[in-house]
Amino acid sequence: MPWNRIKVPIKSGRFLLQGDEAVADGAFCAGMRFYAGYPITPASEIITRVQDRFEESNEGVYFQGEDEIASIAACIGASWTGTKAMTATSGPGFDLMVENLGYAIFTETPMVIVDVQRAGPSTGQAARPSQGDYHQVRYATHGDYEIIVLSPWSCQELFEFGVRAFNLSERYRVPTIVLTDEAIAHLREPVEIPEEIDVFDREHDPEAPPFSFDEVDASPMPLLGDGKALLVTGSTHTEWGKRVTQDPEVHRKIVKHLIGKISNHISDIFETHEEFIEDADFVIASYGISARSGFEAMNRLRKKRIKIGFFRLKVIWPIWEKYIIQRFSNVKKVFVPEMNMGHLSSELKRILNCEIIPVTELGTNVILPEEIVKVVEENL
Amino acid sequence: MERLEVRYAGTGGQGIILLGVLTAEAVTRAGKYATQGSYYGAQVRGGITSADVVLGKEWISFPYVEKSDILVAFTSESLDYYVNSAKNGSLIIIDETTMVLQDEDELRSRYKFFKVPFTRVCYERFNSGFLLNIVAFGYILRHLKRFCSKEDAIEALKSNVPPKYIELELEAFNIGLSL
Amino acid sequence: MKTYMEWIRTEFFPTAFCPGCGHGIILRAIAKACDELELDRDNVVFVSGIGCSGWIPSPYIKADSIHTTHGRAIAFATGVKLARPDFTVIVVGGDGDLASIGGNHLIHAARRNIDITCIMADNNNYGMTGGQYSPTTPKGSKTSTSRKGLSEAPFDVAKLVKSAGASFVARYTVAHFPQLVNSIKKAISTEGFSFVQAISTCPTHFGRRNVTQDPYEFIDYLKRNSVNIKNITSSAESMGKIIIGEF
Repeated sequence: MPWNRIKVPIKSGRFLLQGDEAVADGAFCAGMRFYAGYPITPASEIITRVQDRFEESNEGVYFQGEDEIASIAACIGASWTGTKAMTATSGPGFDLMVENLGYAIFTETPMVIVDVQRAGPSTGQAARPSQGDYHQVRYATHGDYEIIVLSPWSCQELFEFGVRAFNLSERYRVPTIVLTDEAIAHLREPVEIPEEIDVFDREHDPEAPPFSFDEVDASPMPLLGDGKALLVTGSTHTEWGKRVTQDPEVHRKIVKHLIGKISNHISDIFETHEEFIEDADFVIASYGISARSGFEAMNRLRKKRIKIGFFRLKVIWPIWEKYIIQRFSNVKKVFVPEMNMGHLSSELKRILNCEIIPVTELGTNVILPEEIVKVVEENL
Repeated sequence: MERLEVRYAGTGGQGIILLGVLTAEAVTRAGKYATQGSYYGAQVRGGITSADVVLGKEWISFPYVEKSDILVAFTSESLDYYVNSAKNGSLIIIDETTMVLQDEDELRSRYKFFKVPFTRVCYERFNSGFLLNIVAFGYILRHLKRFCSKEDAIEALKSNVPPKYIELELEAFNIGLSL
Repeated sequence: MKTYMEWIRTEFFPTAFCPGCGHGIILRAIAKACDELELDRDNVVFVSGIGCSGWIPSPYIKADSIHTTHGRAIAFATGVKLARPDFTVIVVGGDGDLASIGGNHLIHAARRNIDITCIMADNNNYGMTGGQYSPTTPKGSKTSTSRKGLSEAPFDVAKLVKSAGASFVARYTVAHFPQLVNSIKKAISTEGFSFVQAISTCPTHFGRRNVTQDPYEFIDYLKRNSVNIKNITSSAESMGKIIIGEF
């Protein structure tokens, strides 16, 4: 069975961990045994932790690529041998990975990318947080596709999403991104490492074609070395990997498959954290570090007897529109704190009919709870 | 919900972040909750380094210092930078040896203000300032009693410094405790 | 049937190569080398990039193959090799693919001396996109992006890769078939990074503008214009010639 309950290969218990360490540990527990990356602030601590885990277990291979392009390419190569692979980077490095990210999407290669957001564009402020990559991680590469992006708000979730990202990636044969930010990646807080976790290992079928046109689900995956003379290609292809460079129908089928295998399982993939939504006139909706501020702001506002709820996206892509519409049906105003020009705000404006009020931070300071409280009180 | 916001501020090389980590580690070992975040590098003028530690009995929502309950400053520059984010009447501790203050009376009127000779005691015993942060760790514990014990702090120390230095570190820690 | 044909997927014939293209000869040379070495097909992985060269292993070689993004074949291959050191990993790329957009991966693979074989099918230009000049196009050549003659100097890719740390480096042309097969065999058998620069013919673009459109004349030109590295006694002899042999 692809789902297995396994004993974690590291010491369980409660430890003070930095976010970068927690996500590396989560990935290792999920079975990540190949890591490739290029040094970049604020993600560099991840390769350090991965090395620790690989060395103490005498398992796994890490590779410092000559750049981010080589790093993600090596992960894709490793993944086709059946090895769970991960890379981690920040904005400028993610920019470089984008073409091969598209390759991984198109060839349905499971792998995990951790994007530790820093302030951009360009070099920006390397050691300061931002949430400006919200749309980049979704629409980075050309063409039509779906991708899964998880957004942790704590070191605990960095551990858990390190596991979950691999599970989703293996389940749906899609590169999965853990989108975090400098604030949480460099934060230290207690993390509970459980004794056991549930792990999904891709369905390996040596007889299966490498690709699929199924409109509703992912298909089993053959591997290099199965003895079937596998054809893997980033060109439009038949199920058996034969290049088809001019037939529109084949391309249509592939794109429908890439989207359908995710969108038909959105209820399995999409996850939220909600408080007091049922009776709320107002809601603070957010994700990542800004949701920590938003949660505290909600607590303070509820103490003032304001009927405000809290809605946090743990999965930012795919976004489950129908669910959000239903949950917000009685909400009058939504306040959206985020460290960018209003990316989630624009999504919610597209999805919902109620008033959406962005609480943005374009500098690189984490939004303070009191700033949110102030905006809410001014707009009641 | 109980929440104690501690900020250590100084300059690069003083071990400010380790001081923050040790505090958070001690509190975590005591079964309580601590979040620790740092600011460093060129983003703050003049090379100011600071470590935020927020302490609670249970999960902490906002993990950074908004208004500090305790501010420990090791340079005048960092004190100037952070004093305005200290709560009125909160605790401010400074290194008496190295810091020259223009407005001490004003600080005394607004805060619970203490001057501690961290650097001097370091030099007296070790002929160097390099264990400044560990002396301060020992000193600050008296204000964190609700969150961790001396034993928790020693465990935190042991897990964060190389074994060959532990004797020296414990000595510095004890000097801080008895200041 | 020749036994090396078992390494070729004839079901995809006719190939996508232009009439007179030398890449078919390189395809045969690789198949022959694999056959003569009696490689276990199930443990051989070919990795290619984008361009005419990408078609050589994918789909025409009957073994596992990954046809990757432009210039990145070596980087993908590095991941395969690190995850499965027991695999024989062979990269086939072009001059644009490996020496221009992928140049950084090439020199770093040589520096690491990772146990990968890399075959550069060098047709002196970007054939698939209309014959633009590449990093191996000789100075003065006319291409679709150097109409009056190229003012830039080419890389000596074999020397570059050698000095970057590769274990084995050879250069032959498609007019030197037995030597080409032998060098590919040596490359695969050598531990560490090995590199074979296989000078190919592109009658459609480079040849038409600089040598000849006639495939036979082109092969003849390569023969006449090559000099073995062992036989060079003065630099004057090698002026404007293709230096072949092991470096």
